[in-house]
Amino acid sequence: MMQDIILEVRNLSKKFNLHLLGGKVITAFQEVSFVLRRGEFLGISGKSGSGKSSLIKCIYRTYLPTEGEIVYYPKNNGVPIDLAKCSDEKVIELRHKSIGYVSQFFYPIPRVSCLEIVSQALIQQGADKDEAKRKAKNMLLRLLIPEKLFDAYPSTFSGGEKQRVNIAQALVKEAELLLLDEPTASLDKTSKAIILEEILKLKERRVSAIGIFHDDEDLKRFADRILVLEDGKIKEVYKNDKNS
Amino acid sequence: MRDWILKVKNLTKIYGDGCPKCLESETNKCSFCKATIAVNSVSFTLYRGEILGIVGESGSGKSTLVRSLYFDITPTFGEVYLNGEERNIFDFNSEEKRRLRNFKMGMVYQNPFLGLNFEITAGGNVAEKLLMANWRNYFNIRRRIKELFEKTEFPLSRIDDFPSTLSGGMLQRVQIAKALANNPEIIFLDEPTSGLDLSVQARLLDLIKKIQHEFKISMILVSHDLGVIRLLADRVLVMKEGRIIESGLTDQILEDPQHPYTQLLVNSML
Amino acid sequence: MIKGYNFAFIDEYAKREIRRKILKAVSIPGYQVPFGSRELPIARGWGTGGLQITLSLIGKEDILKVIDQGCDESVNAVNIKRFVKATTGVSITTDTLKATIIQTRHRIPEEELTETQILVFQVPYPEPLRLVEPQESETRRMHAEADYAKIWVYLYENIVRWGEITIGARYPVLVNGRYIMDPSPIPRYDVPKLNYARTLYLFGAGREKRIYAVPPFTEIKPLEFEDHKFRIEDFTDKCCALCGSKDTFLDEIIDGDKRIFTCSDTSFCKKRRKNPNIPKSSRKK
Repeated sequence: MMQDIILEVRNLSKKFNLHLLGGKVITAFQEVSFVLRRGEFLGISGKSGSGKSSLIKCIYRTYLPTEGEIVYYPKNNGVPIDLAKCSDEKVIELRHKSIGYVSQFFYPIPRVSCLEIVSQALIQQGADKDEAKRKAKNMLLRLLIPEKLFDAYPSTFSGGEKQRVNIAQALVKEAELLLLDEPTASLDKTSKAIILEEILKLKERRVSAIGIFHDDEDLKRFADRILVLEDGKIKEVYKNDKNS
Repeated sequence: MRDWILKVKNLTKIYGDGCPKCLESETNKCSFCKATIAVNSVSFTLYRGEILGIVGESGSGKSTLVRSLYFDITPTFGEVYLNGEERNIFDFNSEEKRRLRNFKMGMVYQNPFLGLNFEITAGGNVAEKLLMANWRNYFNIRRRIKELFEKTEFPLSRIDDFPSTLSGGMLQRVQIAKALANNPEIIFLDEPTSGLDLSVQARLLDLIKKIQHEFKISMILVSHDLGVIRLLADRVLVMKEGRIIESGLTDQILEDPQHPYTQLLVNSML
Repeated sequence: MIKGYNFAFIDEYAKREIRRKILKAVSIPGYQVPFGSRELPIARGWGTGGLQITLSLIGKEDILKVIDQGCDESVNAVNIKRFVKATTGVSITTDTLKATIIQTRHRIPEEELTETQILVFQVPYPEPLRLVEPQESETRRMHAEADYAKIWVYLYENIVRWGEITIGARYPVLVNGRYIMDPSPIPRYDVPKLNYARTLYLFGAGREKRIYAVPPFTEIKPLEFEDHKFRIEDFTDKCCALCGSKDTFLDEIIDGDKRIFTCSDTSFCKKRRKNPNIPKSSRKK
């Protein structure tokens, strides 16, 4: 059924044309195609440099795809949108409302408190200021950011704390699609477990997610299916048997 | 999707005689008639509630572009439509243009001498906008000025001081307060923090962001500094020699610039 | 009447131009109409503007009164009267109610004028916006576009600095809701007399070459804020030392070491000395 699919990536390629290096072309990945169903969690694995981050960034439109389509199907039979080619305006709208992103490295906006960063994500969706603050506080607490840090600037936080703020702003949003680039990278075992719990909770709302995990264990906990990239191409896609 | 608030079509400004070959010129100097094409066929849309960045180096035409939109400069040709107005605003007569400038637009110049009258007090500069909008109650005017100064973090104790006694950062705050006076729909900021101390710049930019969030004003922010653009703008237009050579989401322009010149700019960030 | 000169000294073509400009001024209340200011045997700055208006309008049957700061007997008023009489032969009077044309410098007479009279003002500086804008091209644009923010800012700054608007004479007024006008250096006291008056007011600036007018029954509003309203001079507890009037504009005179106040309008003061109850207006209340 059409409604089941939330994302369809067709023949997607990304090449960088580095004019400053005399026009050198670097290929991040080529001819990547896959389908993501609603409520499905797709894990992406592969060696460093295999194109994983670039793929996610293309979906989020931080990178402009060179070729191919990224068709997004909004819920309730909304008009399908090709994220690769749609207008910047449309992307901004989707980023506010439907698509969440946890980047690999979090460069927080300077001089903004983590509470503000997280509540901003909700306000952009149209939430009331006080309501947004309340939900933001809740989320930060669940991700083990103590109240005394709410007014502090994330630029002064440790790597792990930064990452948790990063995750908070994506999870609090009630997005339909989550893009996660190494969300558990700087975290200790306990934090990892909590984060994964929170992410898996989203399945209850039929949120779909694509996640990169370099830790195999985390990958296995997270993913329903796993896509393996090697040298910029899909090596294989297989179902993850969580019980093994 | 957000509504549009400003649509710019083929805005062009040529200094000099101009000739039919001008627009084809690759640089901003026409090789045939020696005219300078400061702005060359620029088209873009500004959406309600967004901050649109325009980045470019000196001579790129970004200031000329924005000052044309504010009616400081008369373009050679081109059309600009404001949502809610039926015609090309450059076809308006001077009274209609003044009405737009007073009520729908605000401007913050890099050089405070352009934006402020140094012969009247800081409060007087803001009062001027209110008086243009026919405010005739002194107490209400004072109250509104104080309100605006509080919002722009300008010290109330200096409301009656003359601009020549104020620091650069304070002068910009007065400009911002003045721009906000009549609740405009669009504010143009032409390098509002260039030349100021870093900490002053940071506070001003944070203020601009805060105000934008609170009042949901659409803004066009011109800067040669990509760092400023990254902090404030959702989308960016990159200008070179009068043309828009690339446009896109801020994070995309910064992480995946396509045009060689954009790549050069991004690589030059400190 | 002196022989060898045209009636009223200036030639008929000059009179025609000035009359046309007066008509234009009357059609556009408060708007400054440029005119070709002629040479007169009086120097610029001594009332040539007002005089040219008087000379263009005066006829054999007219009765002329000339006052300077309210006084009929000041040197300038007397000289102008003599000049006009010598070139026209018209009757001269000091009685405000009898005159058909009154030429004045810096005052409006106390007695209310009627539909059959014309008051001609001598104007030194016709441009009210000169206070805030030195350039003529710019002030013309400001009038054309009704862009009066600058003068309003000036008033705001006055209140900031002094707690009130400190302009004394030449208080800017809004004419018929459109043009801001300089009513000439009349005291604030006289400004309300311009509003919805029965008489025609003409203003002439000879050196600056401008004529403007306030037709009868025109709305004249002094610029003010809702909470800082226009005030006239305060003469409570004071009265004229000569006639006892409490309701006229008073001049302050230092006599030795004494300060005394007398009516500025000398002819009305004389009337009041004879009959202290003479009203200013002939209209039945």
